[in-house]
Amino acid sequence: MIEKTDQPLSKETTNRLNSVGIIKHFVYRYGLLAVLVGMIVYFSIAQPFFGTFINSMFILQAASVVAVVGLGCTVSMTVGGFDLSVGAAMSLSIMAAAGAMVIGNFGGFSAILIGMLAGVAVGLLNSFLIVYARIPDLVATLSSLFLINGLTLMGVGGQSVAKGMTFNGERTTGEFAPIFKWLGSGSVISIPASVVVAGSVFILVHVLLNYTRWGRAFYAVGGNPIAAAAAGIRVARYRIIAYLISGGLASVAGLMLAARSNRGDVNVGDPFLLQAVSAALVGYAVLGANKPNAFGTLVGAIFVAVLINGLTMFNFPYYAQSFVQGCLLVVALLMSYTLAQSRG
Amino acid sequence: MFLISKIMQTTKLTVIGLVLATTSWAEMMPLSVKSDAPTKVPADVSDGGFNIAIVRQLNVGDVYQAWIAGVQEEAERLGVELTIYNADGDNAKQALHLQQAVASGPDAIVIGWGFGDSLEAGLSAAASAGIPVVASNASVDASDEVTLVNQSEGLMMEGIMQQMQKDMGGTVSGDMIYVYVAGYRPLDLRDEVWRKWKDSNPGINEVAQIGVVNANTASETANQAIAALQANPKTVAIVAPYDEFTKGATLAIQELGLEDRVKAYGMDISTADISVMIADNSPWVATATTDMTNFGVISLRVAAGEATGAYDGNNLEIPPLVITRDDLIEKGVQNVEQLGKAFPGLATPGLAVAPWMK
Repeated sequence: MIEKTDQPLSKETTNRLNSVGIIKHFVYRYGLLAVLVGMIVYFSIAQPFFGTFINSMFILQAASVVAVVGLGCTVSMTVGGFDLSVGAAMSLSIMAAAGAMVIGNFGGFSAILIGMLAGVAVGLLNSFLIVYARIPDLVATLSSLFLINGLTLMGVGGQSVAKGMTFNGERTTGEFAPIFKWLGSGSVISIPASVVVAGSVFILVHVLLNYTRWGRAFYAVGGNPIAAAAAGIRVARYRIIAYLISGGLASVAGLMLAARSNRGDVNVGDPFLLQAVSAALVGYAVLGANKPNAFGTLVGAIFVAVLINGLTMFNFPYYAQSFVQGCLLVVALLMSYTLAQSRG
Repeated sequence: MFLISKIMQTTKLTVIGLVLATTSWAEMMPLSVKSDAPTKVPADVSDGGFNIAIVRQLNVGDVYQAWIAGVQEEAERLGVELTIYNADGDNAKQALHLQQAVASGPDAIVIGWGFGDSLEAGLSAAASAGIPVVASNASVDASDEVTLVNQSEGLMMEGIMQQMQKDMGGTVSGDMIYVYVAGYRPLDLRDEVWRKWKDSNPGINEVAQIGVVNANTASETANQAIAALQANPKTVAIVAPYDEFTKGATLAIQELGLEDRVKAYGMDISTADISVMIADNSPWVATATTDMTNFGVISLRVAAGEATGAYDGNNLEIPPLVITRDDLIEKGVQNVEQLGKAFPGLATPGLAVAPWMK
């Protein structure tokens, strides 16, 4: 008799526990992706233009710059670092490339090279401050943020670089090279050039982090530098590489931005720091990764672009868009921190 | 913090002007309502709703808030549905928004501020899609597809010079300091009028030309003006046709205690400007301005008119109003909100009105 009554009770409890666990597990792994898909379906039904191929390309274009900077941030986060200077590195490479073409009359490929070298140089500065001078990441990259922003403004006398500008009292004669026009508004079999570039960067970073020895070393350094060093990983070297990649990708993003606007605007990279960091953080919650990862960052960037694109079609005021973006970040963080802990 | 400082910087530079593109302005024709303009909205336009996309470069700040309020007000009156894209001062974002707006196929597009270099690809896409574009305060060239709506820089300058003539009892003369920086389109256009006045009034003796445009325009202009005033003690007026310049000039006159002898003639108006003008013994005696809300109203109206093929020409200049310090004090105006009520001339209700809009 006793066994008979006990048996079904305990079974029910287990079942209930199981189903709660399964739901929790599902939300934890697929929650954000499900919200993203739901949002896309909703916007497409409510506003037919939203779901067209051409609009999806606009969404990806809007996400591309944030995704590329965010992927750089992701790499620096894997080694347990944090790069606050990515926006400044973007601005520097924009000014370097735009200045090279407009003021220096350089060609497109030289300008790209100069822009990328500028970004890598910021990475070198950060590496020096962090690895050799042993300044904590946040503080070191904060100081390079100001240093680089100041340097950029000094280089161009505080003005934006555009065709026909006056520099040092003389009218400039250079202009943006055709390769920039292509990067800004060209396409490869109807996929915009910036989406192709961002897609390639994503594949490279994804493969680097997941399928190479470097990637495993990055995560090991980020997880526990002392254990990593004990296991024979050269911690300093991998941290330097991570910051070089972060600076380099920031410069790629900068070049994409300059190409789209056909100008070098003062401090235009600044807002991208926060956008990129939040994309990377949202990425923690994608597929329950709970660590910096390339796929998550990509989803984080696309998520925001979908949201802004859709809300714009519903004439959501611009100041409310930040608020909605904030909600997204909080939900993502709840999932990767709070929910992850309650799972044990 | 960075975002705010960036926007403030962009705002300042863009309000005073957009660098003149070196291309020709020869194709500009004044806008007028066609004699055979439609008397009601054509069916192909009203089909599926009358839609206009607004593509803004700048959206944060009083000026831009007032402009968009005018756009929305006129859209409601004319039964136009709006889609508003805000770029937060990011030119790359605005470039993408314009292309996106073109692809969504509205009946017309209004660009609110922006640079021709950035908008090139979107403008040519709009041209090939046959969507009329109205460039409101943007440095874009006029063409068959692109109509410009701007405040009339020439008439603004003309207005303050005429006021000065009135104040001086019919003849403009005396030692004057002129504030000007070349390379900004509005300032260049105002400068043309200044030179014309100098030529036709030999009594004007320009003793110094000063001016600087940067993040501290007003205070650095003030420093230069103090030096110039001390070097030229017989100066009777400072002509400073941009409000940051005028604020600097006013400050310089006040610091040297020359309020009774030297007057400042300025341009533009904001709540901050009004408080400078109406302050005790302020030397800033006159300013010329257009109303930003009305600017938005007219921009939307012209876009709606272009969508229905109501106009000839591709360039509309909104006439300004000259406002004196005495007017402001007499009418008790203390901020821009009260300005519109006190000076009904700031609104231009008859401008660019097509028959179907009545």
